[in-house]
Amino acid sequence: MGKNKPYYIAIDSDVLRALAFADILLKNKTDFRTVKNSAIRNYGGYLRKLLGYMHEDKLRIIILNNVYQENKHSQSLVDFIVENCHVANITFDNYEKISDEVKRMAKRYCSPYTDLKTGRVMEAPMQMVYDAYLRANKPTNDAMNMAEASVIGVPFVTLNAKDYVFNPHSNKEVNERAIGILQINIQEGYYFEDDYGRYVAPKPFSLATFGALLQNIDNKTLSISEVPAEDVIRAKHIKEEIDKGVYDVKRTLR
Amino acid sequence: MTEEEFKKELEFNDKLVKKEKMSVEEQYKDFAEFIAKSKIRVKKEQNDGKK
Repeated sequence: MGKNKPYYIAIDSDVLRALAFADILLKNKTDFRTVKNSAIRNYGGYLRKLLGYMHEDKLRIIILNNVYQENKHSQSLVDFIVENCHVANITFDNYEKISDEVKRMAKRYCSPYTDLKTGRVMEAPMQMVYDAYLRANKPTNDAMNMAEASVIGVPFVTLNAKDYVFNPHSNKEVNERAIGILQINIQEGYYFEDDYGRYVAPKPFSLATFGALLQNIDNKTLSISEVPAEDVIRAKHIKEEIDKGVYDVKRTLR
Repeated sequence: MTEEEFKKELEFNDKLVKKEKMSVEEQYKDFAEFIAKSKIRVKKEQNDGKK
């Protein structure tokens, strides 16, 4: 993103709580090293940086439905959300449509998908859990959050430092689930062309990884969710063949 | 607000959240109501969904 356009990200509840508490500490001029909170102790530097970018309006935080639901009874968190964050344009007219699409995408992350490069069918990158109230399996909160971030078109930043998050410094195996999410987003059409003609798609990041990447926020080359153009072409091709009912896995191997 | 007060507020929040049973549609309706009533800023420039 350029210098004038703010960068949008969605966050999970843990990041929201850590940011809100860090904001309180900074306002009270309390030294981060004096608190017990592990998120503040481990990620204090990144949280300070994120809050700084938010105040400069270089970075805007999107609050997802699920994150609001998990924190709406805390007045401090609601105040922080209203004062410092943004939401997607969810209204009485469109909430049902958005809710249906988020559910569909969350289920998609919990189903096997076709790898764009090899044509192989891969394991689902995210999982379902049993809900006793519904008496049925449902996508995890992580999957719902990731789905809403994708539908809105923003990266998802979580305090979860393993599992499904993308780490550019790790090997392919570690990133397999994040790559799966990214590939599903491309196949479902959730990718966008940025101001510089590059394709970008929503992807999950840990706070530490995202915080480190943010050092380039003033640089036009910050494109942390970039997708190679050939992946977009392959995805379109696969989707067309699936829609026509003529999809052949072997053909994509050529 | 102290760390202890913040922690207690979160515990109180989590207890209430656990008791709530809403479908995803009902949650989104509730969220739309919050957005309409509060002064939270709305991301106007949508990516318009799919390509």
